[in-house]
Formats: sequence, C-alpha cells, structure tokens
Amino acid sequence: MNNKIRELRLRLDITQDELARRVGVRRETIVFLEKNKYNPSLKLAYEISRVFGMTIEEVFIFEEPETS
Amino acid sequence: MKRYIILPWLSVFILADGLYMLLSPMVKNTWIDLVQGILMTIIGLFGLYQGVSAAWSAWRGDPLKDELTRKIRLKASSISFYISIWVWIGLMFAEKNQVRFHSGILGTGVLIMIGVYIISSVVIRIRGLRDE
Repeated sequence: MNNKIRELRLRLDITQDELARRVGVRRETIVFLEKNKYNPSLKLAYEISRVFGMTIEEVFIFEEPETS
Repeated sequence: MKRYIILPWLSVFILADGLYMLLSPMVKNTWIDLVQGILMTIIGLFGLYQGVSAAWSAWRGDPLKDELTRKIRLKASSISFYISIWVWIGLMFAEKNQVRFHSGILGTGVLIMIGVYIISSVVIRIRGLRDE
C-alpha cells in the first residue's frame, strides 16, 4: 500500500510534528508512513485522511499483490 | 513512577556493570565474560537511549506509545521468543559439555534474550513494518 501523505502534507504546509500531534501519534510514525515502511491501522488511516479533508482511498493507494 | 525516570538510572547501573566486566582486570576474561560484558553494555546503552528518548517525548508532550511502537514491540518480542527457544537448547547443550557460565545458565540465557530483542527492534526500525 502506498500513500500520498508527504505530498498532501506539503500542500497544506504542515510539519510532520504537527500532523503527528493532530492524529495523536509520534512523529516517528509519520516518518515511517511517508517512507512507506508501515501500513497504518484503519483508525489511523481515517484520522490522517480527515486531517487532509479526503477519503481514505484518496490518501492511501492499495495495490493488488502480484500473483504468479 | 514514570518509566523515563527509572529506566535511565537502571540503565546506567547495567552499563557500568557491563563496562566493568569488559575492562576490569579483576574479572576473568573468558569468552563467556566477554559475551556477557558486551551484552550488558548493549542493554545499558539501549535502555539509556530508550529512557532519554521517553523523557524527551514526555517533555515535548508526545505520546509515549502509539500503534507503531506497540507493533514494533510485539514483533520484536515474538522474534526474540522464537530465537530464544534455540538459544536455550544451545545453552543446555553447552552446559552439558562442561562450559561454565559466569552468572549461571539462567542469567546468560536472559541476557541473550534481551540482546536478541534489542537487535530485532533495531532491525525492524530499519526495515520497516509493511504487511503486518
């Protein structure tokens, strides 16, 4: 799963720290999310999408796993 | 009492003990002493880092735990538990072959378990937690 958190955050001109405070997590979690090193829970995905005023599908892009 | 007050103090003692085991000429420097000294130094340094970072978070008003830290802890615990099964078998085998442990087989095993937990959590932080 990929996401547009960094792009949307820069568009809104908010820092990682501020986003972390708004959704109630540590800044490290936002860093992990932006680097695509962590898939958030549904609750956190919802909270982040709400900060950007978008739906979860608009912020998080689900990619079908390749089947061989 | 808060974790960020206890942990740094406890870690300083563990770190001092580890360095003493590594550097003091009073301690017999067998390979087991060396391994235990290195493990205690790593545990002390990690605990000190955790304590200072928890104190820093508390000072900034950040949450001490969130879903990522919980998942990292859970994953590191499960990895270290799995590895420790084989470690205990190895230690029992070594003891049967007359290897003498400075702080007993139990102390050595627990130290190795904590060491594996620390290494696992560092590796998870570097590699990330996708698809968990």
